[in-house]
Amino acid sequence: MSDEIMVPCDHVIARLWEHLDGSLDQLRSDEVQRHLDMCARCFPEYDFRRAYLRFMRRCKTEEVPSELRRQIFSMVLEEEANGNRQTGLGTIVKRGREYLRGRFGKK
Amino acid sequence: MGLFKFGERRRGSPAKAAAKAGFKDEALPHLEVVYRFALRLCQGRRSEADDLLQETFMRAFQSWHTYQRGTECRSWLFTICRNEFLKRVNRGKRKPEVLTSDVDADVESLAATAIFSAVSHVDPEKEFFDSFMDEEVMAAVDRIPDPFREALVLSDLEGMAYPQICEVLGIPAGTVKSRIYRARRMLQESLYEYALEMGYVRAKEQA
Repeated sequence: MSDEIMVPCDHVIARLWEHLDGSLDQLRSDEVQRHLDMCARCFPEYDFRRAYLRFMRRCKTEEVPSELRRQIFSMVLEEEANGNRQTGLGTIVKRGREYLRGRFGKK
Repeated sequence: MGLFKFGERRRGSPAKAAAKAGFKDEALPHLEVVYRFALRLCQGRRSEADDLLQETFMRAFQSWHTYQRGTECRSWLFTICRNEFLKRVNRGKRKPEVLTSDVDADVESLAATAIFSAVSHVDPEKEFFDSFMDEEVMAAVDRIPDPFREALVLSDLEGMAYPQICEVLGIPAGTVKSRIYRARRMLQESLYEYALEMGYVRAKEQA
């Protein structure tokens, strides 16, 4: 193990999000991690922020409504099937307007 | 006024058709993630998010020839989605958020310690985040002002790196970082207050 001087706590906390977000270069990241592994004050903070990030990545959200998904897919698939015979954007706009009209009545 | 001007494009050509090639395979797989982003931009309002998603994919399809192959399609779609969203804001469908000045990223990272300190006093078992339902978290995310929320969603829900977020939001790296950190602090503060209110954690006893 090297006998280098440890970076101070404030420096580590200021870099903590960057460290967790993987945006520090290897050298700085190693420096911060070495401090964390040995600091009773900073490690719990690191652990808390890490728990936050893990938690957020696991959060689920609503899926695309099936009708909306179908509309968008069918627009694209139809365009592809029609190839160069049909006007692409015209079809899309028409479909889009049909969809909006279906949702809100007159639009 | 219609959504698009398409007069000169009424007749397709082999070149145009070729220009659309790849959209199905490259853009459509991102439908779910773009919807998640749209939903958070619209603060959970589903019908608004549905329209935004529709408009985003229409616009993306129309502009597919401008997409640079090999770059990240998801970022490109997020940019379009956000631009469509900002158009709606400018059209007056929503009131624009007033942005207070951005604070230095280091200062924000240091300030985040206050939340940890408050939570660790009342949650020694470190189960704080486990006590929330996903809907409760999303509702708290939706209360964060637009400029901070969009940075947080791209970073923490979509797992994007700072340079990609800079690209989507069109702001420098320092600003991206400070907005993400500020948004995290806002979210954690909001969750903490909510947890106290709901009795998920007990308030720190007064000395």
